[in-house]
Amino acid sequence: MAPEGTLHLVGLGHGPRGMTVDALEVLRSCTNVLLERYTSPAGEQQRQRWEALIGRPIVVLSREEVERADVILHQARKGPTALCTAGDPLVATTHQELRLSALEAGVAVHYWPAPSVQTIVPSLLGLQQYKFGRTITLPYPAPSFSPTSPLEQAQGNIAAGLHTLVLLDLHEQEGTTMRAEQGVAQLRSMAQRLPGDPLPATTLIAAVARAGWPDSALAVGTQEQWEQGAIASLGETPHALVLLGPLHFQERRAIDRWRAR
Amino acid sequence: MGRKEEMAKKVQAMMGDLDHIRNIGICAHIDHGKTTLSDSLLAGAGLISQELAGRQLALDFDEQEQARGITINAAAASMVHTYNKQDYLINLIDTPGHVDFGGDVTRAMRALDGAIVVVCAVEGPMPQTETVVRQALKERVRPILFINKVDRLINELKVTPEQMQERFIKLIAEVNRLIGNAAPPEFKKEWVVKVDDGTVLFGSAFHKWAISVPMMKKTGITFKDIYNYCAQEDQKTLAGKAPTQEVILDSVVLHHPSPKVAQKYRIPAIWRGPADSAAGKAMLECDAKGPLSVMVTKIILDPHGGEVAVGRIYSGSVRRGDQVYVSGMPKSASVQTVAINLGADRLPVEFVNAGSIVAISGVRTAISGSTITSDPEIEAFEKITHHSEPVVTVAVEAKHTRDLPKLVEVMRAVAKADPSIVVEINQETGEHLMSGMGELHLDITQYRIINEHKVEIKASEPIVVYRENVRHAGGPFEGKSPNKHNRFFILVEPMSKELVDAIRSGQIEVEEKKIRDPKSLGEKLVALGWDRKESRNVKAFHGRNMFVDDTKGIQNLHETMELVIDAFREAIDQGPLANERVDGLLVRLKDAKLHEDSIHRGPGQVIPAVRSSIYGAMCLGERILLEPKQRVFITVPQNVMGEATREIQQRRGTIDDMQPEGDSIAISGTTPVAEMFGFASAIRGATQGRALWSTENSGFEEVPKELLDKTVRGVRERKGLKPEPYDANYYAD
Repeated sequence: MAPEGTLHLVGLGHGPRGMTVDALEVLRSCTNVLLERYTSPAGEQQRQRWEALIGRPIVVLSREEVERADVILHQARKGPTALCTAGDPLVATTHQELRLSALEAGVAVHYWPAPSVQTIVPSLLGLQQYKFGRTITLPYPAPSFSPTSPLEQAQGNIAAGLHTLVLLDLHEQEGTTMRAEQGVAQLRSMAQRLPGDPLPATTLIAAVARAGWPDSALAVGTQEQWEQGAIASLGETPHALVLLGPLHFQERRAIDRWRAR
Repeated sequence: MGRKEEMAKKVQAMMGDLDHIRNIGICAHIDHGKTTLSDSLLAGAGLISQELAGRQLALDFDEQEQARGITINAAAASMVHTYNKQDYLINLIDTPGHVDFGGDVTRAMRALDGAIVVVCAVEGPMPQTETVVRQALKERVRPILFINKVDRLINELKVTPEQMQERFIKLIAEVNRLIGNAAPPEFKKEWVVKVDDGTVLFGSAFHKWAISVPMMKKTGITFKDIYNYCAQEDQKTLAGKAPTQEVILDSVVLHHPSPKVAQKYRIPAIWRGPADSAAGKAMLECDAKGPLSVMVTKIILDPHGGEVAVGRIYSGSVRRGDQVYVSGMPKSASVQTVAINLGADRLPVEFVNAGSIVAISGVRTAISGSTITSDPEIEAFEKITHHSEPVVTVAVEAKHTRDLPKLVEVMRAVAKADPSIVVEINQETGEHLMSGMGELHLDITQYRIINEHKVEIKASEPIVVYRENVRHAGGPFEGKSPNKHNRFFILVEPMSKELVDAIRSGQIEVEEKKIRDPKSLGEKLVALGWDRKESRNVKAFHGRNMFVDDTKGIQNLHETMELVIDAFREAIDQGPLANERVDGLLVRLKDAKLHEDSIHRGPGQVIPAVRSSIYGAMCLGERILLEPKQRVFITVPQNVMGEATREIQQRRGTIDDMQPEGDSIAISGTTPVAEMFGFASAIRGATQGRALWSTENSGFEEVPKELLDKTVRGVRERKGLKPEPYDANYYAD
């Protein structure tokens, strides 16, 4: 069966012009350019910059529309369609689901990779990629929902001598994203509900703001320093955290540079 | 000092003398003369003039009650009766007779130790007689029998003295059969009513006379005399010789127990706390010095005093300024005033002691059925079991937008004062949905909102409340989260009849918040035939529905369970067929596949997944709709019998029984509530107003298959939903 329709999964990378030249050309050739904003933040201003760059309008999809693949597949059958994501398009697991549904529905799928927060954050901080364990994400607590499993998973990483990349939740509707200091407070609240002392005062926690942007910012402090508000504000979101495991001496050289005194 | 103040003072003084207190109520089938009798009794106590009693219905103090000639509120009154030179304090609670207010009857009953069951001599025991007798005995309230309207038997039916006696024997035997069926085992013999000892009384409440065999012996009046007085239309002389209040209250004093005697056997049946605790001992002894326990039976809305909680004090005493606790409420409240009831008036007093009825203001969190205590640790009175649940709803709107905030407050107050009214707000339309026991019940409540609370409202036509369930087990059905990373496998099945009965009877308690004693719940389920292992898996109740987690060792399920249960509650509140409440469903989680990262299984993912899984399983289990049914009782002259039965039959009704009663015929039938709107005027028209009728809600039954699609479509369209319900394929996505 010949594929009916084409879907491009396009990574926009991080920063105002973070996409690849290939991606740019593909977007310029598509009939429909769709953008999802719930797995990674991208403000209105940013959307306008991208529109200017590719020279066509970008339609923003809600989470529900992305999860119900039919809207996107319907577009793809009408003409070449791109679904854009900040960062890399297939790092977010939801889009793997979309890719498989598209293939099952007979729609051709093309993948256009881009830099991801998964690689940018370690690189910025001077940490070694292979020393990272499982990534965790901190959800905004909701009624009937205050999980502790993210910190439990980080404990596993710590026990194995690994760092943990901590991604922070965003409220799609309000367009707000969790700040680094809120993330640390979340971790602390989880720690209080778990046995033992999973987050000792001396734990080093690094933060990165606006990873991949020209004005990215870094900060490192102990859990205690975060709690005491001794870490200067990192400015606008998006933010991400890293729970640091044992440091290699090269890593230490880098981390010491960013550490709060 | 006025007469009332004098009474109040007298009553206050008597409150410490427990042996000489009686807490009684009068209950009857509608129109058998309950309120007339109450007024006769109050008249004797000097609260109403003798002349007016029988015409001015003091306890029917709602204007509307008088207009309709029926009693709506269970109001209370205290009075003093002298027997053998000893003063007795009689606390009288008027209980509503119309079954639309069944919740009130049960609640009032709990405050009593003795009941006067009024039965009309002409009609004999009626269906509601049976209901009220059953309710009284369930609360361990001792009945005595008053056969009313004896004069009508003589003057209207023209029975001979012999026929009269025959009728009495038959009537008494029938009432004793009801008592025998429902009395607690230890009282089955003792509580039989007998002519000889004065637990059976005869009379005419309207003409203010009554007689018992002991009274006949005392006064020398014979049945023949009575027959003659009535036949000669000279009941006034009779009323002079044997006044109602004297004869009846003598019998009350002799046969109804004092609170001290009654509480010994009533407390174990109505209170579940430990008998050897300080509170338990105080209640068993009716000790005014013990901790306070008040069982609230009614909230009265007073234009000046706000919400007034009326209830029976089982132990301790309550004074103005006391700090008290309301069951289930975290904070204490301060008692503003303490009062006793005299007819429609409340007179403030210093304090009220255990064993009496009290009206407390200032305790705003109390609702009918609450327990007020001096110590929050004291166990609340058993949850009052309602014999009936709301079956009809109207949408209420404020006529003027400016009244909207007031309406919100008024609706809240109305629901608090009458727990058989359920108020919900439709979040989308902002309408208030008010549900009650029947068309009349809602009419009256609307009348009160307009006339007492002075809020002008518009109400929709009444609509019937449906329930949803399944015909058989369905599933396990796989429900996926929108991001497809989580899957839940759920099986649903209708609860067994035994389980539904156990919940309905309160043997298994619905615990909405937390299951406090899973072990004892498990034992009860095993007794109903459940597998021992599964019996421990119940995680939540919602109404008469249960959520059971049959999975084992699924990682991260523990931190997802609260969301699963939230989703279960949502699905139960709005079933898949017509967005009506689900009733009697067992929901079993059989398996779950969860994403490791909690970010992928938040509320936005888990709730839709579980809901789809429940809905899908219900599709597989064949969804059914249940509609409320009513039993209809009609008494008509034989020559219009055909018209009356036709009224039932053309409303999808069935005729269950027909019994000749003299030259009348008593018809009982069952009809869907949906078909009963407008019945009152239809039956009046069809029988030229010669039908006596009443109804009683009889629970929910399945909507016939051939009407299902049409009914579902009707409900869905009314709610602005797509006319066709979704099928299993839709929920599989």
